[in-house]
Amino acid sequence: MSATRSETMACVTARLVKNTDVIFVGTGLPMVATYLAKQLYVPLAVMVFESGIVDANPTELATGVGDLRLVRDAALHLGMRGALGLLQAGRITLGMLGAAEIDRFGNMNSTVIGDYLHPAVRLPGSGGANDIASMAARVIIIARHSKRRFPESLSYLTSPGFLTGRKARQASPLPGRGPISLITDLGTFGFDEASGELVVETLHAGVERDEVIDATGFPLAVPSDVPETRPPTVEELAALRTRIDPDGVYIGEESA
Amino acid sequence: MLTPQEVAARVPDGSHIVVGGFADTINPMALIRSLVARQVKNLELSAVAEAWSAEFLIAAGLVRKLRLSNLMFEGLGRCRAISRAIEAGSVETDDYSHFGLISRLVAGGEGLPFAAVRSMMDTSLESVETFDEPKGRRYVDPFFAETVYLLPRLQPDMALIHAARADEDGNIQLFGPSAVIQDQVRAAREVIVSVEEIVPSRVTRAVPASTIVPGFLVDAIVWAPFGAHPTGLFSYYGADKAHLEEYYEASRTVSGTNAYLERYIWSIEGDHWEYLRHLGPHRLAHLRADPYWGYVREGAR
Repeated sequence: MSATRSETMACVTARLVKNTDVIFVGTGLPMVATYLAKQLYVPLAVMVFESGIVDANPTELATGVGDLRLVRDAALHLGMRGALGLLQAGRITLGMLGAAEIDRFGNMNSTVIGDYLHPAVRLPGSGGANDIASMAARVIIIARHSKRRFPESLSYLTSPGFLTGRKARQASPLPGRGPISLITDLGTFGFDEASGELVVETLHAGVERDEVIDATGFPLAVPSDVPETRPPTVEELAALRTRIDPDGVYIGEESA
Repeated sequence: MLTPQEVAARVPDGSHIVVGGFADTINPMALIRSLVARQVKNLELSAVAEAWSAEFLIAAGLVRKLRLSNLMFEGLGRCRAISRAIEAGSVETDDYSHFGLISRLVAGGEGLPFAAVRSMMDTSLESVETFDEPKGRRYVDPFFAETVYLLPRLQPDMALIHAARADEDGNIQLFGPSAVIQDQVRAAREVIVSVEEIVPSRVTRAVPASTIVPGFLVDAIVWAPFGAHPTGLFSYYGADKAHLEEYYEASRTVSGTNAYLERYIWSIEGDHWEYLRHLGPHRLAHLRADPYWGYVREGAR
C-alpha cells in the first residue's frame, strides 16, 4: 500500500508520542497524528486543546480546536486560561506546532511576512503557539517543505525554537526545552546537540537529496547516506483511511 | 432587557471592547451586527480568538486599534478583511500570545496591577511594541529569583457576550467550553449578554455549576435566539458552515465583503428578527444540535 506524503507525516509524528504524554494539540495534521497515536500506540496519552477542552475523546475528526465535536465526552472544560495555564505549570509534556516560516534553529513565524507595521501579508498571529513553544517540555514541528517556509531569516519571531542557538535557549528564562523534531513532507529532522541547527535524520521514500536541499531556503547539509524514513504500516494507513480521516481532509495528496 | 440596537446605542465611539467566543463558536453575532449597523467608530478591540466578531467589525471599518493573539477561520483560512485592513495600515495592531493577552484580562478582573507569565520572552512578541503604552516588562521575582514577564492589567470599557440562557436575576448559563468569557466579564466595566433563552431562576439555580457569570456582574440582557449565528453554540446549534463559506467567498474582494454586509446587516439595519427571517426556518431547523452530541452530526439529516 503506497502512502501519500501527508500520511507519512502523520504516521511518523504519531510514533513520537509517549503513553505518558499530555499533548497540546493543534488543528490539522497534529490532530490526525495524535488521534492515530492514541488509537494504535498510546491509548493513555491525553489531548488538551487551547480552546479549554481537556482529555477529549472525539468519535469524529474535528476541523479545529474549537470544533464542537471535541466537547462531548471530554474529561473537563477548563476555559482557555486554565488549559494554557497547564503549559505554564509544566504539565504539558508535548506540543505540536506548524508555522508559515521556520528558521534553521526551529524558530517560527505565524504573525506577518514583511515589516510588522506595514506587512506584505498579515498572518493569524501566535495564538497558543508561542505559549506552547515557550513552555511545553518537548515540541514537534510539523510543516510542509518549501523555500518560502524555510527562509534564511524570519520576518517576525512568533514562537521560540533555539533562538540563536542551543546555548541561547538554555540561557533564556523560557521553561520549555525547545523542539525535538521537525517532520515535513520530505523527511524527518532533528536539531544538532551542540548548535541547535536543523539536521536531516531521514528522507521519505522516493525523496532525492537535491529535492530537500532545493526546498530549503538556508544551506542544509544532507549526507549521501541518509536513511529512508520507515514507511507507514498497513495498520497505520488503515486507521487513517477508514477511521480517522476517511474523507482525506488532511491526509489526501492535495491537502495543505 | 435590551434589543441589540439599544445595545449598539450604548457603545460610544472610541470604546475599548472585548467579545466572547472561540473560532466559529459562541461569538455574540447579533450584538456585533447591531454595532456594524450603527457604524460605531474608532473602536479599540482586544481579541483573543473571536475571529468572526473581529472580522465583521473590521470589515465594516469600525476598529482603529487591535490587540490580538490569534484571528483565523478554522477549516477555512485567513480572515481576509482583517488581513487587508492591517496590510493597508488602517488598523493598528499589537500582538500577544493567547496566554499573555488572557493574563492581562485576568489581572484586570482580579484587581491586580499586572500579571506574570513565562512565555512571550525572547521573541518579537516581547521586542515589538507598537502601542503608546507599556506592553510588558521582565522582572526578577524577589522570592525565587526567577525571571518572569509582567503584563499590565487590561480593563476594557465593555464586554459583549453570547450565552445559552439567563434568568430574571441576570445569572448566565453556558454549556460547553466558555473560552475567555469569565475573565472578560470580570475585567470589563460594563457587561452585556445576549442569550438564547430567558428562564426562571428556579431553572438556573437547579444547576448552578452551569452558571458562568453571576447576575450582579451583568449590566444588561438581550434576548437573541440564534444570536451566535453563523457561529455555533454547544447543545443549541452548530456553526452554519454554508453561511460561513458564503461570507468567506464574498470576502475575497472588498466589494464582495460590502455586498455581504449590505445584504445581511445594513439593508435590515441590523434587526435580529429580520435577519432570522432572511435565513428562514428551514436553514435554522437544520442547524439544531443533536440532543446527545450537542452538535450537528454529519449525515444525520
